[in-house]
Amino acid sequence: MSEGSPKSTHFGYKTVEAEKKADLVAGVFHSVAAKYDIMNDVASFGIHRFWKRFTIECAGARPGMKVLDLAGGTGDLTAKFSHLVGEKGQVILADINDSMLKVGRSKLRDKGIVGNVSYVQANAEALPFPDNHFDIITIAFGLRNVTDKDAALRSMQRVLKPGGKLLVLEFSKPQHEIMRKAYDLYSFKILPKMGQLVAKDADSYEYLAESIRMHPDQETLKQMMLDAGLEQVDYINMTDGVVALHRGYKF
Amino acid sequence: MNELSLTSQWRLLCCAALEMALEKVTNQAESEYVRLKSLHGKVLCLQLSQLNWPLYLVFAKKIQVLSNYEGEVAVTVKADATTLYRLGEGESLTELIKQDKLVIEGELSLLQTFSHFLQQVRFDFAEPLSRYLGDAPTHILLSGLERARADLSRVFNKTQSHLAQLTTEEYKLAPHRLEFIHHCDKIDELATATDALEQRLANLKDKKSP
Repeated sequence: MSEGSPKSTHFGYKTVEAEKKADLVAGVFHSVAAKYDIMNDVASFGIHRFWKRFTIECAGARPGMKVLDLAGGTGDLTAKFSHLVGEKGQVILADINDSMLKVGRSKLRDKGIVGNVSYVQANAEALPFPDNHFDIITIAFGLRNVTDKDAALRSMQRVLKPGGKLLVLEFSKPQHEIMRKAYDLYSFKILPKMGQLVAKDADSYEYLAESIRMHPDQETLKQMMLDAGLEQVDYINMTDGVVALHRGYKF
Repeated sequence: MNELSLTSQWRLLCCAALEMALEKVTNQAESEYVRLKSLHGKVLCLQLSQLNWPLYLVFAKKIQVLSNYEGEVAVTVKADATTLYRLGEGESLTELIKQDKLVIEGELSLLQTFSHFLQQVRFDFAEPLSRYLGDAPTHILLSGLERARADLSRVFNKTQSHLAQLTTEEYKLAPHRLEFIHHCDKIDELATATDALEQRLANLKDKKSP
């Protein structure tokens, strides 16, 4: 995706130097980590659970599989996968942000989810795993925050086993004008106020709304996945395209 | 075309609801559920005749419910929702299978263990409610509801018997039960008499014809 000059990238609507984006995004998530789950429920009216449930169904995890939950945040998907892959399987929760990883780890441990889950702090652009390693990779609401998305997708393609599946759950472009208007109103006017109220941090939620607008739309992301070497890429819009689930395979 | 269809949204919602219900149930009987070692890691597929898609119950630390599963399924059950309810009420599994109400493929023991577990667990609404309302209000509410239920069923039974009396005794619209039985008996008698007569006629005919 074109991001102005090669050394600059976007951070919401601002243009920043590429090296700085990771730190800025880290700042956002350090600031919201503690309230991340409750804010998710409040901001999406609980619909994010529905989006994630659909992602789980699409993933088709089975006992014994190796699953990578990238940018897994507070571990919603990891918890589900951990139940599905059983004792012989393995789930790795990876996030670039150690605050989020800590929150996720303590949450999962409190729920008694131990044994088949490991935690790795990793950058999606250069995943620290061997080639052809995972059966399923999911990245839910994370790709948006990655500085070099193409590198990240290539890296995911590399660690995916032949026959493996990549699922990208991410905000996308609403399909109807009226939905777009309502969505804009909600995310630019109401969401930052909610963020202020619940997480005491309006800026982070303003960034969230802006970064969603800067994220490639359905077709562009599909093309990016194809360019990264994934095959049979398709996508499914949810809630009129506010969120889209992209699927791609490696053969 | 790329939009998630309404039916699959409905499926997801059903699965989520069932999963939550099962979670509440297993939470109340956590030690019993943990002890069901033979269940863990197995998958039960339910094909209800009311639903045109299967439900997969994945037994893990928490029971997961999916509408789509590609892995190995230990047991598949095809049945009616009412049959499953009767199973939960304690009717025997073998009896239902004999009546062809239930088709089972795979490990029968898994289903038996699970249905036995569900029979043991009676969901106690007071437990979760008391956390929000407090103990005393919950008790008042639940005993009130129980009383209301009993009152309603009494009123219903009374009305039924009143209406029955009204139609049979007051307005004579319908016959009394005994009258009806008597009438049926008479019809039976008539039928046997007719049969006997027919037989006699046939006999007479036989005698005459040769």
